Amino acid sequence: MTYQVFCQVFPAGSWKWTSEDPASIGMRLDGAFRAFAAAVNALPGNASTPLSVVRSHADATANRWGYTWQLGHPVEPAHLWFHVESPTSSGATLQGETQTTSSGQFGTAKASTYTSNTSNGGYGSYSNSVINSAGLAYIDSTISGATAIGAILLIAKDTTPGREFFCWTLKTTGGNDELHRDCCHVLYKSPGTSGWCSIAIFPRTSKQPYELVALHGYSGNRFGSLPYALSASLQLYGHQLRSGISLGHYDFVLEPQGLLDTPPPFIQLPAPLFIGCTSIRGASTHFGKVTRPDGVMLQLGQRSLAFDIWLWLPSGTSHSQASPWMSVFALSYWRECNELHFITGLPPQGLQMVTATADFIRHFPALSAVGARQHPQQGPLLSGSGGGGSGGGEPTVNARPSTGLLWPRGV
Amino acid sequence: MSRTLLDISRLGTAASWPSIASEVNGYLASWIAAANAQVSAHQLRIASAPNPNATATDSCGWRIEATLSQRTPGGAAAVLILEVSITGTSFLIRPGIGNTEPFVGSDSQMGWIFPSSETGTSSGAWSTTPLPFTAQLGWSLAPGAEYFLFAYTQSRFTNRQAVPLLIARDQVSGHWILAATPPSTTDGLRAVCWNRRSGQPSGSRTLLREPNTSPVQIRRPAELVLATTDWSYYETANEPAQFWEPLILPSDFASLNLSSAAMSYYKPADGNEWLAIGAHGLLLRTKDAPAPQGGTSP
Repeated sequence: MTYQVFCQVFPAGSWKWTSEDPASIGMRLDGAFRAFAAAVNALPGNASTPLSVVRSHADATANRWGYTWQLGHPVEPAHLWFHVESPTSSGATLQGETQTTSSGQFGTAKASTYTSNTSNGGYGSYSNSVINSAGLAYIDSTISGATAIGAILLIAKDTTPGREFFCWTLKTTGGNDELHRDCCHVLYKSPGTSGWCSIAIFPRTSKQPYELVALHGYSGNRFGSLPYALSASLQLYGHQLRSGISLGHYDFVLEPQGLLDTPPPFIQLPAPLFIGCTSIRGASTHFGKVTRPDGVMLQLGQRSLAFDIWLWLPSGTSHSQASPWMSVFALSYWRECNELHFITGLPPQGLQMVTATADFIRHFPALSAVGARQHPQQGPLLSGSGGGGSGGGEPTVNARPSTGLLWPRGV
Repeated sequence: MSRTLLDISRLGTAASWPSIASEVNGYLASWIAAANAQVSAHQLRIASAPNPNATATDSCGWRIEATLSQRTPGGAAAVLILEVSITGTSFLIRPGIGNTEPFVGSDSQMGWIFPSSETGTSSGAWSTTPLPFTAQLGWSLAPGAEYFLFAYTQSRFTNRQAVPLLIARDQVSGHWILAATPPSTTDGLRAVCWNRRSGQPSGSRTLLREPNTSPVQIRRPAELVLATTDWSYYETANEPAQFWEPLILPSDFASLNLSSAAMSYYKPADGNEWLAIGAHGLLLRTKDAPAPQGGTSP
């Protein structure tokens, strides 16, 4: 059973992201990730790309809570983290009601830039890192104003060699519907790359300004936000969600080296994930479900002005985790949704880089004086063969009628 | 070698639309006859052919219909329509669904039913200035990857580059795709097909490609971004969630994230060679990559 989906419920009034209690959500996430890391690290294909935990909720010494994971890589490992600050008495970082501020951050750095000390709430410091603002809607249901909020930690993972992925989703229940911030972070291996890739999707709503769609591929040199194929593949406002998406390639590695002729590796989203837009429709804002004869689609993200993310569970999807982990189908929150379009995409099979302007090596322009002479298609038409085709052996290639043709002009 | 490429370029002074369209129609009719014999499950038909004697104010072009083996929810054979015509200098493309059974919803405009409310008419302009007319026909009867293509450019400006006809087999469903691109930079491709998995018509108005700010790249396969809007056989509210397969052109097509590229030629490192057609990044393969050399050692 390499593909498993399971969840755990944390009751309203007691659940806290900001806790290092072994039964709390942070440590349960840590345990699930460590189990995944142990399983995939044991695979021969991951010998040079082991995963490990650098920091977890257990390392919190002040008011910072979250995880830092190390992504192994044969050249240079990297760190990736999600940290949230706990509410203070001043309310400056209180999340759950005002939503105008966020203390959350999603960050990346090379492991070599890390100093393992107790600064930053126990999480250490970096000499060079990239931080994206993010945040959770409710992080502590013991504080005033959030006592009606419960949470669900949902884990989907696949330990199949070559298709490894680990996805954690935090879903909140109860409370103000507008304030939910169901988010998702996926770590995965993609064909064509040796390192780990990551995608984090945090929603954006009228009350939640910190939209985050962080796509990171790691090359061993640096993280890169990937190109736009994700949004280009979706019809605007079409309520479409897509799988099989190519998330781009490491152009920043290839181009400076002049390696345009090297087919760039693709970053390809794990097949069970569908990313798209559900800005308006659906019966539920964040517990959507679509039942099909061969499986079930569940909403990991939520209705968003940015992106939403759903997960496909083929019939028979189960798990082997001990209680209190449970089947996601045991949750009563799911609501059957309509008016959505799920497109099973086909990843690209080949990318070839060419120069943006004519170089007469890879790229020949049309209709210029020089271009017409050099043009592989039109140039032979100028050679005065008088029409009637391109000559022996290929009678159907570029055959040209013998009359009526004056452009390009023969010479 | 089942691909045929034909250059029908000519001086602008010899490029009247009725004469060009009539010449293209001759090749199209021959290809359709062969394609119908080969793809008997789906039948193409030239419902209306260009009039060679059309005056400057007459509408001149095609109405092409494809009757698919696909059934509509009502049980009728699904019929696709593509109209391409020029009246004077106005170039109009209309993709449509030809079934007569009533659709639930209100996306029928003037009795014409578009594949989706976002895939309606598309228009451009034909220049009567005698600009050099560079044009390419291409067709193939390769089983499963049949296509017919007519593309031209009247100048390097993208508003003079068009693909008036593109009829190709969807590589996923096997249905015909009827598509066209007017000579216009702002209003792109229009395509209509029928999705096997959803049982619904599917339209498209763009190729799937990176924006032109990304590194320039030739991307295969050429995929059309589905336009699946509120149009359907269902009520416009509360239609069930639907599952779709992608719309993929045959392997002789690719996409490029450059515009203003018509009739440019690309020779990427993998050995394939491509001719750019239209102003929206579609590439037609003119030469295949050589087969891999050598064999596997024992």
